[in-house]
This record gives sequence, C-alpha cells and structure tokens, in this order.
Amino acid sequence: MNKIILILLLLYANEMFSQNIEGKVLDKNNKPIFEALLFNENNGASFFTDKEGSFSIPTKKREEISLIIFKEGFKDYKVIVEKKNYSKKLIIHLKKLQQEINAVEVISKRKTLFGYTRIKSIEGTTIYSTKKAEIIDMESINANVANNSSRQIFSKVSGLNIWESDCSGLQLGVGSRGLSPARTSNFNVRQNGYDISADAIGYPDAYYSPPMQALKSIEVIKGAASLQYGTQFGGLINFKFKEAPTNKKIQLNSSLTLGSNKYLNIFNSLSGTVDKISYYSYYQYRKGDCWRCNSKFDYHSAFAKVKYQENEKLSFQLEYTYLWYLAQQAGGLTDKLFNENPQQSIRNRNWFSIFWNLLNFKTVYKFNAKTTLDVSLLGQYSGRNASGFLGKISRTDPLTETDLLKDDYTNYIAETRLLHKYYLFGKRMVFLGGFRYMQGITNKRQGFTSNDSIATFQYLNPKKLEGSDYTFPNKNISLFTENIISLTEKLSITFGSRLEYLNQHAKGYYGLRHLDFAGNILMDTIIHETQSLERFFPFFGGGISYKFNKDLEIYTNFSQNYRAVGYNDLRITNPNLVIDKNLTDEKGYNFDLGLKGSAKNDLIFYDANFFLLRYSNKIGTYFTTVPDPILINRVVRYRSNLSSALSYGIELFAQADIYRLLAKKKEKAEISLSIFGNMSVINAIYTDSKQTAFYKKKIEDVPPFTFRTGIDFQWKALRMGTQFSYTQQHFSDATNAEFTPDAIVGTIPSYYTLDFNAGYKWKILKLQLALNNITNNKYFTRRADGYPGPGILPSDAFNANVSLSIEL
Amino acid sequence: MKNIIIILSLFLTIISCKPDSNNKDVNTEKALNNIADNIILKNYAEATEKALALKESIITLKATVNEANLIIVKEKFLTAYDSYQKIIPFDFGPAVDNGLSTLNIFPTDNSKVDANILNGTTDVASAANISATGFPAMDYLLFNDNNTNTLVKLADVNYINYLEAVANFTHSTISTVNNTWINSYKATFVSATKIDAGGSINVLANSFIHSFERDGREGKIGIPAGVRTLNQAVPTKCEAYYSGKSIQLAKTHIATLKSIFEGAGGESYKSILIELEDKELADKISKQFTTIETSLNTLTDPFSDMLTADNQAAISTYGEYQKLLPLLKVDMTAKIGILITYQDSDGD
Repeated sequence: MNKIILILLLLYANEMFSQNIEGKVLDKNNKPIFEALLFNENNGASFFTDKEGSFSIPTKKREEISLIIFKEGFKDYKVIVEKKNYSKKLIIHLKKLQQEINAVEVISKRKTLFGYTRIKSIEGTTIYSTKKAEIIDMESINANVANNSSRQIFSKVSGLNIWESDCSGLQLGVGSRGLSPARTSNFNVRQNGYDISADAIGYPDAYYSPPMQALKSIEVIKGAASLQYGTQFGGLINFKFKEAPTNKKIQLNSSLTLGSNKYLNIFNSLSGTVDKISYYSYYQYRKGDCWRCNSKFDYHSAFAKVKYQENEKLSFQLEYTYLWYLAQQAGGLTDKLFNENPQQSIRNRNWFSIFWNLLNFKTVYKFNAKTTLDVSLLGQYSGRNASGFLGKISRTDPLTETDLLKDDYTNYIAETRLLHKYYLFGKRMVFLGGFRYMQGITNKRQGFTSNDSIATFQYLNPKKLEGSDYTFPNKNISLFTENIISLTEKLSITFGSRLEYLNQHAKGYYGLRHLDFAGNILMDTIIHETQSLERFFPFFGGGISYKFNKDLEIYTNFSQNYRAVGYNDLRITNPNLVIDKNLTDEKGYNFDLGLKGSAKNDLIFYDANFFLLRYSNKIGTYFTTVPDPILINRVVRYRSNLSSALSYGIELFAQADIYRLLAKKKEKAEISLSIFGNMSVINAIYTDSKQTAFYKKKIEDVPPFTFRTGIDFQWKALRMGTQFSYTQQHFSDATNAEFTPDAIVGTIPSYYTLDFNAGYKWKILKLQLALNNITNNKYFTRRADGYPGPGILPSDAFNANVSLSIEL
Repeated sequence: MKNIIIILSLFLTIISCKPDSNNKDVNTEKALNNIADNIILKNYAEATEKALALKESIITLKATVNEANLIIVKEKFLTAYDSYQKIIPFDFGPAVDNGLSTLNIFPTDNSKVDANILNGTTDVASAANISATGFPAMDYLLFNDNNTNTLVKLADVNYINYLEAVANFTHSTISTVNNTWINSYKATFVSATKIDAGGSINVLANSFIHSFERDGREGKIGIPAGVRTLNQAVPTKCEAYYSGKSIQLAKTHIATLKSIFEGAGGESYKSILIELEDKELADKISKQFTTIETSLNTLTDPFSDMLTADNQAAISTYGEYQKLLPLLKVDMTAKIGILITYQDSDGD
C-alpha cells in the first residue's frame, strides 16, 4: 500500500515538477560521445552525457525546448524539442570538425544584431553571470573602425561619457557612472584578458588601446568586475583580437583608408591555421594632419599571436604587441578663442609620443569539459614622452624652455585562473579561483627641454632635473574566487571575494628653486623624498540572477571595489605639499539592479538597470596647517582621502529589428532594419569633503543625461547605419564653475553628433564609407587642466573617410 | 514584470531623496557690488589719475630739464607707485589680459635699462624688456643718483625718452585696465555671484590672498630679509630700492588688502564670515591685519639700509604675515567654500 502511494506521489511529482527529455549523443559511426555538453537555451541550464552518450534533461513546464549540444572537435548542434515529442527518445548525431574549435562555449552564441551581443553567463574562465555586461561585436558593427571612432564603437553601451580630444582616437577616453573618462583610467583595461594600461595599480592610464580594425569584440563589464579583475570602479573593458581562420593556411586581409585632413590608414593582417599551429598578426600604419592647426600624427602598431594546440586539452599561446606614435598636439583654447574659431591653435611646440611593448604567454589546460586552467604571463616595457609649454592657455607662449615629461613602465604579471563546473545536490555549480602576482617599476621624470619647436625629448640637465625624478616600485598579490550556485533552474547566485596585498614605494627628488620677482635664482637645490605604503585587505561581492524564462532575466549585484593610491599621489614636487601619513586607497562599492531580455525570437533586445556607485576616500588636496619649528603654523597643501561621492542612475538599452518584426517570413527576410536607443540618467554628487568648495557639489565630468540612437540597415551585402549621440551640459570641476578666463574649468555645453556609415561587400572586396559629425557641429567634450591642453580641447568638425579592403 | 517596476521605482525614490544641504547659501552680490564700487573702481581711478600726473610731469621735464621739474617728477612718481599698490591685489580679468603685474618686476635689470638707453630703444612694452620697465625702471632712472647727476643724464635725449616711454606705457596699461573695468568688466564681476572656481568671490579671494602671500609676504619683506637665502638679507631685492620707500609701499599694500577683507565700510569677506556665524574668525583676521601694520611700523625706510644693519625686525614682521596666511588661506576659504587655485609659492 505504502509503495503504491509512493509511486503515485512520485508520478504526481513528476507530472508537477519535471518531465525528462532523454536521449543519446552519438558520432557518425554511432559511437557514444562522452561528456558532450547540452545547453538548455530556455533557462541556461546545462548537462553532460554519460559514458554511453546518454542524457536526461528535466524540464518543469511543458514547453518547446531549444537545446544546443557542444563537444570539442564536433560541430555545434541545435535541436528544438516540441512538447508533444517529450516522450520520444532523442538520437543526436554530431558531425566531426576538421579543426579544433576554441574553448567550450558553455552558453550558446545568440544571434548578433549589428554589433550588440548579449554576454553569456560564463565565457572562457570569466564569469559574467549577474553582472551588467555587454559585448560589442566588431565584426558586425556599423561604425567607423578605420578611424577608431570611440563614440560610434561604444554607441550601444549605455551610460558612457566619451572624450574625443585627439585626432583619430589615438587615446581612448571612456568613463561611466560618475567616473572620469581620462585615459579610461577608471576601467580595468585589458586585451585578450591581460593588462595593457601603464600600470594597473599605480597608474592605470590606458595610453595604449588596440586599433579597432584588429578586434573581434570588446567586452564591457560595468561596475562589478572587481572580484575577478581587481582594481577600478568603472569595471572592465577587454579588447579581443580577431582569431585565426581555422580552414585556411594563410589569409591576407588588407585595407586602405583615405580621409579628410590627409588621413591615411594601411592595415594588413596575416592569419591562418597550419596543423596544430594557428596565428594572427597585423601591422597598421596611420598618419594624418588633424583637423586643428598645429597637430598631426604618425602611428605604427603591430601584433602577432601564435597558438599551438597540442591536443584538445592543452594549448599554448604567445602574443606580442607593439605600438609607437608621435603626435603634435594643438593645445587648448579659451572659451573666447573656441567661439571665434575652434580649429585654431595657439601652441605649436606641444608633442606627445608613446611606445608600448607587451609580451604575453598563455597556456590553457582543460582537464575535462568541466575544468579549465588558464595561466598567463605578461611582460611589459612601455613609456611616454610629452613636451610642450603647458602654462595657462590665456598666456602667450613665452618661447622659453618647454617642460618634458618622460615616463617608463616595466611590469611583470602572472595570472592564473581555474574554472570548475560541478554538480551539487543535482544543481549546476561553478567555481572560479585565481591568483595574481604583479611586480613593476614606473619611472616618472619632469624637467626642461630645449625651446625648439620640434620634439627632441631630451632633457637639458638629465642629472638634475628642474622638476622631479621619481621611481615607483610596486608589488601586488591577489587571490580571488567567484562562484555560481544554481539554487533552482531559474535562480542562481554568485558570490566571491578577493584578497589584495599592495606594496607601493616612491623614491626620488624634486628640484627646489627660489626665484625673485624678476626670475633671478636665489636658491637652487634638490630635495630627496621617499614614501612607502603597504596594505592588505579583503573585499567581497555577490549577485543574484533570476531567469523567468529564456527571454527574461532579472539580475542584481553588489560588489566592493577600490582604486589604489596612484603614483602621482605619492609624488612630492613642492615643499608645501604634505602627504597624509594615513593616506589609503579609494574604496567603495557598486550596486546594480537590472532587467534584460529579448522578445520575438531575439528580434528585440533590451537591458534596463538601476545602478549606485559609492565612492569614498577620494584622494585630493586641501589647505591646512601643520606645526612647524620656526613658524608656529605652516600652511601646506595636504594630500589626503578627503571626499566621498555617490552616483546613481538608470541605464537603458533597447534594440529592435523592425523590418523582420513586420515581415512575414521573419528569419528568412533578406532585409534587416534595426533601430536602437540607449540612454542614461545619472546624478553624481560629492556627499562629503574636507575641501568645503566641493561639498554637496556635482561630480565633475558627469553628463546628467546621455542619449544615443541609430538605425542600421542591411540588404544582402549592403550595410548602412546612422547614429545620433547627445550629451547634456555638465561641469568640468568639483566646484561646479561655469566660467573661468583660463578655460581650465567651466561648463561643457550640451552637444550632439550625427554619423553615417555604409559598407558593401563584393566577393573578396569590401568598400566602406564613413561620414562623421555630418552636421559639422562645433563642440568639445572636455577641458584639460594641463597636458594636452590646458583649456578647451575641441572635437573634430565634419570629416569623412573611405576604406577599401580585400580578403585573400 | 510589474514587481520589477515597483522595485525599481522604490529604489529610485529612496535614492533620489536629496540629502539636506548644510551649506548655507551666501549672498555674494552685495559684497561684490560694494568691493567693485568702493574699492576696485576707486583704486583704479586713483592709480590712473596718478599715473597720468606722472606722465604729464615728465612731459614738462622733457620740455625743461631742471631740478624743480625733476623734484616734481620724483614726487609724482612716488605717489603713482603708491597708488599702484592699491591695484596690485586685483590681478585677474583685464589686469591679466593687459599684463598689469609687469609694471612692477623688481629688482629691475639696470644693465638692460642702460643698454636700451644707449641703443635708443623705447620698446618698453615688449616681453624682452619685462625686467626693464614699469615702476622699478623709473625708480632706477630717477633715484639711482643725486639730482645733479640725474639732471646731467636727463640731458641725454635717449635717457629722457626712455623715461617718458616707460611712464607712457605705465599710464596706458593702468588706464586700459581701468576703462575695461568701467565699461564692461564690472558688470561681469558683479554678476558672477556663485561660489565656484569661476565665481568672483572665489577669483578675488585667490587674487588677494595670492598677493598677500607672494607680493606682500615674499616680495616686500621675506626675500629681501633673507628668508629664501638662509637668513642672509639681500637688500638689493627691496621694492623701490633706489628711492628707498619699500616699507611705505608695503604699508599701502597691506592697507588695501585689509580694506578688501573688511569692505571699506560695506559688505565684504568679513561680513560674509559673520553671516556664516564665524565672527571669531572675522575678528581674528582683522586683528592680525592690525598686528602686521603695527609690525611694519617697526621697520624703517630705506628698508635696504635697515636690512644691511640687521634683518631681525624684518624676520619678525615676516612672521606676522605668516600668522595671517592660515587664517585667510585655510580657515576663511574653508568657511566660505572657496577653492584656492593658484599655484603654491616656493615653500615656507
């Protein structure tokens, strides 16, 4: 009797909660495939086949289920199981691939719509689940990649403030959520997963970013990237290079671009796969006279990647990146000069040059389909030179010696990550653990160079610089873990923590010169200084994701973060500057609550979220007095953790393929007409500050409202797209100044831009046209307090370029 | 779906409740109008008038080179130099655009002045001659020698032409700034009422505190007294070294700064501090201004002679200047919410 009840109950339970889809995965010889991965597209759950190739997938609701089956060495297979076929046993035959495919893509690739891809919950050894993450697909984007136009490339990532202050996007300036876009230093910037900024800890400025023509995709995680990647409140930007084609021994891609202001871009890449070895390499040369007077550039960039795939488990990969460029910079303008003519320049002696060398060795070992180990070793030797007269732009260039700032960065980084997928109580779990070791030395020098108008980058007195000469040895060790726990098929949580050990030093001197009012030297000496700062701290984060169905997910996350004390914060260049003995890292947290999903078979995408970023211990200076043996109280500029800031707001993104939505034969339509909209509303304020001039003021460089929209059109091999971008007026300093005569601070008025791109592919040829700032608006996105201004840095007026590419 | 919207909007409501502002809104409009009308414009008018009188006296001297006319020129020079002290603290706006501060680059480069006279150069407005023009150059031309010898030099047409060119340049610079203030800049100044880096209350505070620190404490007292040269006095670095009126000029300068702080009977920084309920600080600053004035009374002109004998009194006056600096640069700015944006001086 009891048995009968039990059986009845079980049957009942089965009926209520689950119904299994059963089947087998076989190869063409009908041999079972062990550990093939089945991914349920409806809810993101995944399963493995057993030794007999059998599987059993529980489903809760009786609905149509879309399954994707992956196995290394085999082609992906997608199958739709209709509910009436639940009881039938599925026999799936996988076709063998000629070449080894890349990593096991745990989550299916969804259809891509003009450059916007929804990110998967795990890729490689990175967990994206519960985070605000986006992928920009460079292969399908409608943007001016030949001219590195960041406002077009990042147009579908909401809430970004993008600086355009040099020609041809030489430097990337992207900020989000109340953080400054200055050289993207509030993002953790990487390429193929490894660090590319000057120094991830003490000087996270992204002087280098790869040319957009070489990229496959760009991953952006806003906010909660801290556990896996460490420092920076903004999150992560990871540039992914193109991959070698698996079916060709050699492939040549060649592209020539000509444009306004004598713009020339030659891009050549060679790639291919020979047996176990695959390679991708490029060389790019760019030059141009910029739109503004007194500016031009000469740019060389190269990259080579060789991958050796020993077997399905083990691979080695060596990458080398090189960059050198020299740019003449037009300097800033005052508001008055800008209104007269933004194209003019009143500085003709400002030069900037960088060199970048990155060598990365990576090995990936897949123990099995569940466990992957990834070890990456990076060596970097890079630097920058900047020379020019950087006095206030309201002053006439006195034509005396110019300032020369020379930095070099030497870093070694080892990073290891282990991703393990396992089952606990029948639920899918993911463990990610990692270790990072970084050691580096940065050298920063400042002194006089000759008064020539050409760039020599040589000091007049290299042994005794007029400014300062500091070295910054640096060490960082981190241990981190992040986990995904699936509580139910719909509900999963992530949590993790990171331990950071940081040890920073500063050692050097600064020149101290006392002058009388006529400029005669009264005293000339150098003062030696040393600083050191060592600390160890943990931080935490977690998130929750709830998938209502395959098309709708709600996610939330909370993640602590920090921004390390920068090298410039440790440098004393004036006896009046005193550094707080208790100076510490800037700390805070990021919170997201969002909703993302799709509808109508992915013809509509949307992602809407609320975020909150708490930023405490912001470093700055204010005047105070310190006891002094001679004078009772000495007035000093005191560098300390003095402000707290809060930014919060909404980021919205939606995209819809209108034509296919309305067309009768949806997926088969040859035409695609897609529109997108993207906006963010941000309120960013200083909640507290020892510098009373900042108290309760708006945070600088944060547009309260940004809006971007566009239309993409495709008909067979013809693609066209137009984009509109609007950024609202905002302040450029923490006192919220509206106008100052030297233009260093003041408002940045609202501006908009309109761009158009078109491309046509014919056999091996591809022709692309880009029209930028079609309405020829005169605007600026930033003001600089020193290099490369100071003052207003105007953005480019209307310009155009045409590219012809060939693929052999 | 509805739940999500409710949750989202709930969050937004919680977050968008603005925190109470503790910053009391200060009305700077009255103070700016008072300072503009009763101090800045008045001082510019006076400085322009005295510079014109100097210029005219030199024309008379040029027509008739004699001792009586020279004495008048010297007198007019000292009054003009003194009234120039009253506009030094307003080094922003038209003053910066017209390089007003270049009229007082001292010590003057007397060999350059001599060379220019020899060559018959009268291009005294050029950047190359920045240390051979303005009041310090005239101070040298008029007071370097006794009247008899000076009259002999003035007989040289190049000499008197150079003097005239410097006086003309001095007058035209001051008068241009004055006119700009009257015609347009006053309106700009009084309308920038916000307390931000570009607001007039901030700009003026930066300018006058900088003038106190750099022109007053350093230039007029500290550097000649030897605080930058290991306590060894450098008497040649005195302002008005040849006429020997250094302390008199320093007194006029500090009195001007005091009037800016106190408002010359009307609203100014002092009344703003009192409005912000910090009368204690307001009084402390006034008191320290008075202490500096008292201390300056212990110094005698010619300052260079006094320093040659003993620099101790000057060092202690420097100390009194130094005591005021934190009150202005730290306490007052923090109370009002002013940001000091000028670059630090060489160190204390």
